[in-house]
Amino acid sequence: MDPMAAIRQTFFQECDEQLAELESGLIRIDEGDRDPETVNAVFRAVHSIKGGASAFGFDDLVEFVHVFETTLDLLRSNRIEATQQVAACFLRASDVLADLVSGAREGSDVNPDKVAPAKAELQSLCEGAGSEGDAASEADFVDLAFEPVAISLDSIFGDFEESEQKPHRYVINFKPRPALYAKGNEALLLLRELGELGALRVTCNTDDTPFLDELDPEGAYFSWTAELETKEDARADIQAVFEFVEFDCDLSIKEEDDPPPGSVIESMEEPAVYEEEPKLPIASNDEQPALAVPEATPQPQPQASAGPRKTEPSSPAPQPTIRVDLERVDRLINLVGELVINQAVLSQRVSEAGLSRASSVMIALDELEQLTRDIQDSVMAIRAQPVKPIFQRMSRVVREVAAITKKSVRLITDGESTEVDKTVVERLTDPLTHMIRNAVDHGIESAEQRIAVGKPEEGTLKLSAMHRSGRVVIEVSDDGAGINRQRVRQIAVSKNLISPDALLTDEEIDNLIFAPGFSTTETASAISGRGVGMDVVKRAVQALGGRISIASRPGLGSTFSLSLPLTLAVLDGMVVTIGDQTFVVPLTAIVETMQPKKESVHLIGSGTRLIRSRDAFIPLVDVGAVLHNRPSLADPTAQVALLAESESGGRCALLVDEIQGQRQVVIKSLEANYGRVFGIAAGTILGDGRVALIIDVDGIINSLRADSDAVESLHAAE
Amino acid sequence: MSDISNETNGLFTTLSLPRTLDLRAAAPLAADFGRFRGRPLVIDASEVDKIGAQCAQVLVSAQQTWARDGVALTLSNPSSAFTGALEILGIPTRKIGE
Repeated sequence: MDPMAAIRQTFFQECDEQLAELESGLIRIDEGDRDPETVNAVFRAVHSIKGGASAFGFDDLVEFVHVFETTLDLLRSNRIEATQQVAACFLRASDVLADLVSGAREGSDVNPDKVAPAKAELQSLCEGAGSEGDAASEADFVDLAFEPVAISLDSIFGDFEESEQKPHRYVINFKPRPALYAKGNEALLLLRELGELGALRVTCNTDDTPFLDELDPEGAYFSWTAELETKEDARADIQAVFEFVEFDCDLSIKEEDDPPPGSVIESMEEPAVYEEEPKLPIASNDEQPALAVPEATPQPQPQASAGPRKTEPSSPAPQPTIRVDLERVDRLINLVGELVINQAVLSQRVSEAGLSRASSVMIALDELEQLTRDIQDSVMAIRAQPVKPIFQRMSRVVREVAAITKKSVRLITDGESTEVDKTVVERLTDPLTHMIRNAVDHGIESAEQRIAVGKPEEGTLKLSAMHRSGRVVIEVSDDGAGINRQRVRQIAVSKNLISPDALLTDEEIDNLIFAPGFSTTETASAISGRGVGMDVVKRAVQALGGRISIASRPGLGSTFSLSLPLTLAVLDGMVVTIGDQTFVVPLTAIVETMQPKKESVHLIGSGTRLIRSRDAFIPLVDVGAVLHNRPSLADPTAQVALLAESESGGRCALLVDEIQGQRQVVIKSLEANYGRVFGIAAGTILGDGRVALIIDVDGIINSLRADSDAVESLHAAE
Repeated sequence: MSDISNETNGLFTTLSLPRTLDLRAAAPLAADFGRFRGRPLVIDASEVDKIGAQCAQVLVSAQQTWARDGVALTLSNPSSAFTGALEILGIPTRKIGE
């Protein structure tokens, strides 16, 4: 890859992280968090984006982010109060910022009608805080009148107690590198911030400035010596001033032990000359500093900013991370998959050789199997990501749809740290977006309707994630009106999706909303009514190996549940024989196994067989016949029944000829390598090297809907 | 493309600095000085609302260059924002132009 393109790609990756951090912080502020560190984190996120955007020359982005940053700075300095209205304004600005970042990434323009109002809102906040709003830079550069802070002489000539409080005097040597400016930082602002800490005298060394012929206008030639006198220990504050630029400058901070009495010199016209302090360069990512620095004798200064930063006790130290190309991770996963298969082959070969389970070879193989599984789990964990980023993205969807529909909606998230495979996370965005839009647009009522039925004006949408039975379950719940089944049924009839006299259960009516082209919206809007929606959701979820189900109660709301595999790479399965073929049934779908008895099997209707299990009748499915593997067997008692349950709660007993055992298998996509086959979810390679197909339990159970009436009638007859 | 305006009479050229001399203005500013090399120059800083370190570097470099060339360079009507910024930067105004 072109090095510049790689840097650019990294910048946008970091932008995504910073945008997530920004939104997360703003949501916390919106919820009442007043921790200064939260505000700092938000400011840092915006500041970081600005730096990179400046370097790449994304002018529109820089212009907006500059206003945003300055407004946040006013929040940081308590000149703007963090009210809910202010937080909402910042959240809208963060949405626009995300659009501008996307625009910069794709090389497309962002609609000015979206940017201008957000910018105006920010500027109005600036003006309200007594700052100029014009790119807020006015506030940065105007009002720069230097006002030294008078140091009380009482500390020197006062009584003993007061003389304990000697002023602290620091000498700060600061030499920027070009990267500091290239990232959008401004030395003047840093010096101004220093001036806010106490009485400051600044000397600029301009000796390195070349003549115009040799001058790089974007170079860094000036260096500064700043003397700062403060009443309190200000080392941490000084380090904080340079926090964002520490890798892009040479910096030394030295405290003088014996500050001379008296106040600082106020005139800048003839600054005193200081002896060069030994410089303590900050560790830098740059291989070479852009400018040669004078030879220096480093002195160990444990408290210098070169050392580790003091972290707030409330904020845990961030875990060190590295970026790894996803292709490398996937290659590793594939290799581990092959390792698992080879380990299974080895186990089988040794077993076929007739060695006893207690032999040392078999014991070592068991250990190898455990180790292989641990390696596989660890490799899978590399690809696992928390669902937090996608949940955060949904908060924007809620904001936008609520604004369009003029509804008041609060999103509550739960289980954001739940981890799932990266691919699953990425492919969840579209279906979740559709579901959230539907929940706000169709589920939650207008404020007037809610008040009329005694509900709070503000609707609540809950987005949660949890691990359950080796899968991840994501739920979208609203406290709205629930599904209007009568209306859904009418529409389904009018669209010829069902016949007018069809007898449908509540669950079946609810599921009609997944039918292609189904819409309860009369007119197409920006949100819905285009005939694209929940059917797309269902297909996307199924493509991920997941299921979607609905639980709706009229007047109380609806819950849409997505059940997804944690990973698309492996599963624990039960290896079974059907005819002369070996199949794998996902273990998560199997409730129990049973040997059918003659008296518990009932034949009803058009040849449908049911099996009684704990006072319930369950359809008996001969998998071999369903998959056209062999004709249906007349005597189910000669077979084994696997009592299976689908994600939506449907149950059936799968008849197989024989159970071979349980095994973890590596999933190989059948669709990617061949095509979709009814009843088959994927393929795998067994220990003996043969290919086995993985049964799609949910697909089979869902195909049995027609038998539900027969089951109902049998229950009624009981 | 710089938005620096200039007017020339028989004796000297006046460069009117723009309101904003931030990081992005440094290159255009240097280019404009390059165009007037060898001429007596008056820098009119009355309209400057903000100036950052990199543009200050350009101005200091220009002053040094004009001095080496033996040509007059004068700073005229600096705005309070201009002098305030130089004060923060610790740069005496004489380093920009007498």
